[in-house]
Amino acid sequence: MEPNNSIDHLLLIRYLNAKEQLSNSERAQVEQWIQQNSDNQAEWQSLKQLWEQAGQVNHFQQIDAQVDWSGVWAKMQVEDQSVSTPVRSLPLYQQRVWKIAASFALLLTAAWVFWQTWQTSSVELATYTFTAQDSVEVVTLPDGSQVHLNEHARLSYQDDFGEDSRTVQLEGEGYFEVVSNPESPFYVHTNPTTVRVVGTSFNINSLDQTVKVTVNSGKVAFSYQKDTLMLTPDEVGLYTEGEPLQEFINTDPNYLSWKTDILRFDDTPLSQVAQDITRHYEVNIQLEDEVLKELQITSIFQNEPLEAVLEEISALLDIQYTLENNQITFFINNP
Amino acid sequence: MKNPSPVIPLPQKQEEGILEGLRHGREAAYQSLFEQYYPVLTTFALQYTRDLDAAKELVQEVFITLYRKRESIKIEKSLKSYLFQAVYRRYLNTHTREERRQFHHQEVSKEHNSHDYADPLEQAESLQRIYEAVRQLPEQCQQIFTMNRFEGMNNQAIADQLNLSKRTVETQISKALKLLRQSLLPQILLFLPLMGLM
Repeated sequence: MEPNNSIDHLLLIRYLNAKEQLSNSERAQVEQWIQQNSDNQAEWQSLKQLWEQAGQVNHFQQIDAQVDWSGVWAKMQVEDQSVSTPVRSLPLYQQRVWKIAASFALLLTAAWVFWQTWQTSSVELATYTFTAQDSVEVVTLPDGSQVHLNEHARLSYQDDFGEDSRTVQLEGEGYFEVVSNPESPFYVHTNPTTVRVVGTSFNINSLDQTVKVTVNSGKVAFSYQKDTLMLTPDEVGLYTEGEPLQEFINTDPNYLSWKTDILRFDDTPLSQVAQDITRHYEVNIQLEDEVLKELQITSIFQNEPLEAVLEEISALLDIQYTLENNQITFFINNP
Repeated sequence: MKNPSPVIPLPQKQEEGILEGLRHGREAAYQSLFEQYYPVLTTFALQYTRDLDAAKELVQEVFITLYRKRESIKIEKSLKSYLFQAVYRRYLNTHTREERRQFHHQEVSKEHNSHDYADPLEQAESLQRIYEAVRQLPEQCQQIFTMNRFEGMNNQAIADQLNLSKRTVETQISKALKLLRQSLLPQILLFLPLMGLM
């Protein structure tokens, strides 16, 4: 199907672009070519269609699936919570439906357990791994427990999660909200320590040579080898390589700032403020003068950009700062 | 021991695996499905909503609903046809009859082109293929072609801005069209035989 090529392709392009700008004879030439035979007509139709469709695709540049995904996932999590909120009073007929459903569920569970036991001998367990890249991620576990993973943290669990116990592995920092279930204890393994809970919320930060557990609510057993600490709210357990476990009271109001995006200072010396900002914004801070360390700040920053925080601190203390790349320097006003 | 790394969009034949992941509420399954279908579904929805943000929102809501109903999802044919149908149904449910009539009216009065572009689904897929083919064009060719077709600049303005002759611009556009037709050939061949019969 070789179209009649006796026409200059550039002339066709000009005709497509703005035929009114062609001379009468050029326009006639194109139109005559199109009418010449069915091959030319087909050629022209497909060219014109391509031309028009190509003018309708620029919106793709404004669609970014990766960017929009995080918002969608966040909404899914919110929806999920509203769905699983227990309903206070159900109409009678629904309660009966629930009872029937429950007995079916029981049967199914029994069949499933039987099937699993039967299968275990031959099937390897699959492992599910979640890694937070450059932002905080929320992972919902099969039992409904939620784990907020700080940047670069990794959480994994195996297919048998929830059968006898609920066991996960954590590298990096994570905040756990564990759904209470006395039948099935929840274990977090962080090399080389283990945290055991029933239902509670707590933060674990495991670095190369330390593991730090801070309890928000409930009770947590923090173990290393034969050593175990029982931790209650606001208590911190600290493992440091080569040392016995240590226990102390949490004095860091900002240990969850990575998750809440809130920095709270209450007569806090600038030396401590600088540490918290360093951790939260991943920057370096230098205090030019010893005197600066003792200056105190009282303020709350919620979801503020770094520069807004620096501006406010320097205004409150009447000092100055410079910010270059990720290096911040505070110094006293020159007279 | 398997150690699945998520995110990479899965091909059609791994649909079963994705479905399994969807039922268990696994983020990786939803994310790969979303990344694979979000652009084309939004393009599909755009033909009804006529507004990009509204189209995006519509599609996002379909995914959120899919997640919310994950325990009772029934996929009759394929995930793809489920998603397109869900977007269309959501459009019908969220727009009044009046809004839809207006849309239909525009549609009818819009240019009486002799060739009509099949249905919105095919149109969306065809536009996606064209966009992807445009992204594959050689650099300068692509730049000139998109300045004309995406930004609506005329060839003289493009020539002035890039310091080229108008003829060079036209030559590059001609080249772009030829390359596009080559890479879209399988699609074009589909209707060429029909044309030949006329």
